[in-house]
Amino acid sequence: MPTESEQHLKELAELYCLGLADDGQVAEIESRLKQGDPDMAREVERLRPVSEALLALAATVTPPPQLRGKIAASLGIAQGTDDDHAALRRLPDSSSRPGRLRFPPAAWAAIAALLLLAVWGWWPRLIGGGHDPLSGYRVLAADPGTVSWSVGGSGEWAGKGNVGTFLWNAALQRGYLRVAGVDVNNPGREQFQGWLFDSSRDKHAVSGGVFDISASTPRDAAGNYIIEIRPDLRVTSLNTFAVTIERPGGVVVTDASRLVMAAKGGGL
Amino acid sequence: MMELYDRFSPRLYGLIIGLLHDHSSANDVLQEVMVSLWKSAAARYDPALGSAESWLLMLARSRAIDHLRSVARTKARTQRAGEQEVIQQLAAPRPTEGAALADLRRLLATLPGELQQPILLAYAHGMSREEIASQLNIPVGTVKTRISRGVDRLRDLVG
Repeated sequence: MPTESEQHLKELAELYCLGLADDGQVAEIESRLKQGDPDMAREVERLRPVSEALLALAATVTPPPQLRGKIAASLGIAQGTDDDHAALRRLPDSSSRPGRLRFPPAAWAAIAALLLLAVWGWWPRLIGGGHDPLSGYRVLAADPGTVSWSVGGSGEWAGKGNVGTFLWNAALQRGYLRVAGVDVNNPGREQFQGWLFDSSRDKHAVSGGVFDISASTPRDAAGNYIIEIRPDLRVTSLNTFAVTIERPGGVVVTDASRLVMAAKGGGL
Repeated sequence: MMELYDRFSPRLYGLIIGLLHDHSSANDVLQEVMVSLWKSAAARYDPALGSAESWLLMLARSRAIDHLRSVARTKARTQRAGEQEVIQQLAAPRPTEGAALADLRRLLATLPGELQQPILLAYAHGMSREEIASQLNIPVGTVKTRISRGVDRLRDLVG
């Protein structure tokens, strides 16, 4: 005999599976799934074949041609052009779930030399600090030269799945990490450090800076943390972005033992 | 955003029109789905929720059902037709119905009759459990039980 709680969970999952859950129920289910609730995940996963089978019955019907223009207009998007909301373009499909990223040992070994060069000031920062990260993020997102990659939990966070997006603009030499559902750090004990891999540098990695994810980290309206990434060296052909956890202040040489996030052009 | 539209809109529109049977309403709902995605819904997506396409279809389905309920079309339609007539209509294929509903009937045809009706009324017509109970003249608890048993049987069939 199932408990009241188990029965509630089963009914919720059934409503979700049949697409009958109301907004509040959907919010509860999705929140529990994102938080890794094992009972909810198991029940939804058990019913997922039914849900998929029912959804697969939906016919394919091309909408009226004028609807595209109407929707584009309502969103303020010019027809035939792309938009500045790059994250939406990267909404992954079922085959693009992030996986665990494995870096070549040589790449990590090269970090020391490159960061030493950075310390000596080979490539001073192009833009001074102190501006609003959210404004900077919006500006970068709107720039046609900006690319967007899905960021997946990796290494210690391999179980987190997709955690957000990494925007990168090669001309501006600046990027932004937009993530949610990630752990905060204790700045007194450890900090996050971004790394950029430049294929034109023979797999050399460049530090993207040290940062915290905490209550004071800027967030966008949807609650995503917005973190600016500025390479210490010019990156001309970025192919991978990664985040590790390091000691406060960051490191010159990392052993990548605490890799937590990664993104790669073309997906991981 | 429009890339997203180009990629998914035929499936989304097919699902919505299958529920609403009205192009004008389907246009409104698809637009609502895209605006919702633009504003905030995309940020809600997480691979833990399943594939992006399935999640989008669920979102569209939810919006379409909201629309159905908001205009009370289901209730008005079933009240007009009379409960037995509606059940008969739902129980037998009609020449004008879409292939998707016919496929759903074929899938549900493998279930005992008492388990077919609640799922068909819920899935194809967006009825709430209370509406189904009223329609079939059975307690809400019985509807819940039948839906649960029906979903479990479907799970065994397609899982």
